[in-house]
Amino acid sequence: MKRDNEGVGDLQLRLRDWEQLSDREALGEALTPSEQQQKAAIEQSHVECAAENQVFATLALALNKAKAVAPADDPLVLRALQLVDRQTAPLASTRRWRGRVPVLAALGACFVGALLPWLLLENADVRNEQRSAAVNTALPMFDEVGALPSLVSPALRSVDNSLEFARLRFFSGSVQVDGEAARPGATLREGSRVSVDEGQACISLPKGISACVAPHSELSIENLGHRQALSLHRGRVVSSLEQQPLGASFSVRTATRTFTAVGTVFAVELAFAPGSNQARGSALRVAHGAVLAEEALGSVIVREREQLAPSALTPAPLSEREEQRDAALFAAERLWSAREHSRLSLTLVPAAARVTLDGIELGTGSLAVDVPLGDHQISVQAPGHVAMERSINVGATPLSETIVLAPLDSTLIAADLTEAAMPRRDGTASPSATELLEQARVLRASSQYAAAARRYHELLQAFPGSAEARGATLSLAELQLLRLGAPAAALRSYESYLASGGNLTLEAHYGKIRALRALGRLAEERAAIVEFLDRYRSTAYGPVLQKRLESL
Amino acid sequence: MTGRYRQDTKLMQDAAAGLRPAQEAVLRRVRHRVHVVSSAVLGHREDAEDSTQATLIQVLRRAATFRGDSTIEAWATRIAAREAMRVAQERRLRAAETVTEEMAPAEHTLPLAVELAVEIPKHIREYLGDLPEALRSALVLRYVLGYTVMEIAEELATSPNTVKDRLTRARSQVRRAIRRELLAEKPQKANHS
Repeated sequence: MKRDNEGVGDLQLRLRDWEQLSDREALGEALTPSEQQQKAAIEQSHVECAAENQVFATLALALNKAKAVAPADDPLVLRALQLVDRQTAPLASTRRWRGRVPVLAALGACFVGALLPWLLLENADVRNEQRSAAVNTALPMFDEVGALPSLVSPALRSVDNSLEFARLRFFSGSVQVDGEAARPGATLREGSRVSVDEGQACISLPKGISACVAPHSELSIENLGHRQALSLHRGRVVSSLEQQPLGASFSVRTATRTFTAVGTVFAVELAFAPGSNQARGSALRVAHGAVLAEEALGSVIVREREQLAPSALTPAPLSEREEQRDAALFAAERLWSAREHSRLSLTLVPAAARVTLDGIELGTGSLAVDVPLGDHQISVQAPGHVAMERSINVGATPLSETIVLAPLDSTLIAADLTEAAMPRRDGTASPSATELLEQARVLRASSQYAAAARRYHELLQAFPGSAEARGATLSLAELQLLRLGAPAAALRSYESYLASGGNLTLEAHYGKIRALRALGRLAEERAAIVEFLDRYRSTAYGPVLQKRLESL
Repeated sequence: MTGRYRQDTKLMQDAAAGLRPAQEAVLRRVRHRVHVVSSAVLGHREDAEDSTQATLIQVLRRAATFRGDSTIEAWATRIAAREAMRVAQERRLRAAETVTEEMAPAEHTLPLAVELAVEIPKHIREYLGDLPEALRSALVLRYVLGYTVMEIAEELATSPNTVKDRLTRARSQVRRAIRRELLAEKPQKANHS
């Protein structure tokens, strides 16, 4: 595709220029008029550019073309209407459940009929058998509602059925097993006691059951047989189990209640009166499936997205806030769902650093977790330190790493050295706005955030009215907020951008709210959210901020 | 009644109240759109159908929460994107455990146009189908749904920088594929001439 009037080298250079401009535009950056002219000129003479533009333009049009109204007998529409009517519909896989809707509806009716007489039976053995039968009948229906929003879907659960004992899969912070400091991968047997102080822990049990224990919680393993059970002594535990074999079940017991399930995701939390060590009851929250809650006064089935308060006898809708809180505790469980995994142990300096692995928040300090083999992305942040993000490869051999974050000041010194060594395109003249922006990007891409911030500052001072400066203000704000742990500076940058205006006003507003949140200036955050919702309620941030507003 | 789209709000309120004609009207309006999004994100016929089905049900079950700030289609599109990404995540983990006959390579092509009046041209489906799921999701959210980088970051629960990186890598892969095709076409044209 070489043009007659230019060599291969020129062609490559022009194409590279066009790619950079095009990519920047695709990421939402505004090009200067001269850049736009340059881009258009290259497009006119290069068929590659035109072809690429065509592809992305066609992609953008795809949804706009999807305006057709489906016919009245569209099978997916009809099935959705049927399933919504029945409430307990099979949704997780249409191919697996295709044609079985009437059977499930009949099962639903039978379940209600079967449960009532069971509650009246006095014989404990008969009651146990009937309980198993009733729950086994009921749960497949509830369980199939997995396609609805839920905490953890069935496929995300651990499938380690070969276990004959429980195992500590993940812990962070201060965790003890039977009074001793936890060891990675520790084996747990009936009677083992897991105590979590500052930190959290997750264990896997036989038959695809996982449980994550919240900070300041304690539980013991009561039974690892056909009717597995945990005893919760304090705090909170979130459990997930795949569909259990006929007759098998899993329970979480507290002093006053027993919660039994055969395939679901649920959380149990002991509630304490303020200032008291005496538990005033246990709460149940069901994210997925259904759980049988029993206490001295009777029993009740608590279904998906319902909760049972400590003193309540009937379920109530589950609040999203609670659901998110439980989901956050359970997120680490995804890591060892894969068949092949190995152990990763991390020691963080400073100990207050927070680590995220593949987007899953793992906590602070030292930690050990079973992770799938292969590459993972680690992100570590601590106040007053330069955040670090990098890839890590976990092989069959357990891997131990110590990650030390550099304090912000020392990074500035290192950045100065790097900057001094950085070649300039023009050895004598001052760099242009574009060059400064490019240098900032290079530094940012190599995780030299403080140095990148310095470049943005230079750009803002030297070319305050330029298009580059507008974009740089927001990039600088993001760096200050997310990488440099400087929310006050970020707030100033966002406000500066908002004062001058630009295409990313919405993002700047949102950033300002995040900066205020990071600074703990809740009243101002609230006011900023109200202002944001007035202007941009229909954007993607709207629902998120509405929730935040309600929680303030 | 709040929101700019009052007729849509009324329709959704009727659907939430269980009125069958309203429910049917809502689903028929959003069905193709939801399927386009599901297919573009998932690239697998049956997963896309599952995701579409689940989304349609969510649309009805959440109908009472519709506030009329956007059209029903736009509202449902976001639900579809979220559901499709959830299914994609499930599938990723499922695939790590086992490879079943259902997931034979032949099924991994994007199925959009066959039974729908809506079409993404075949070569673009192939470009999308060749991308890893994380890159494809970012590209679909950016180009098909028109999300900003920040919005994508919010939706994928990741940082804007990660989104930018994914978008740039996705574009780069598509770019390479386009240029490979152009190079392949050139000798053919030369032969014809």
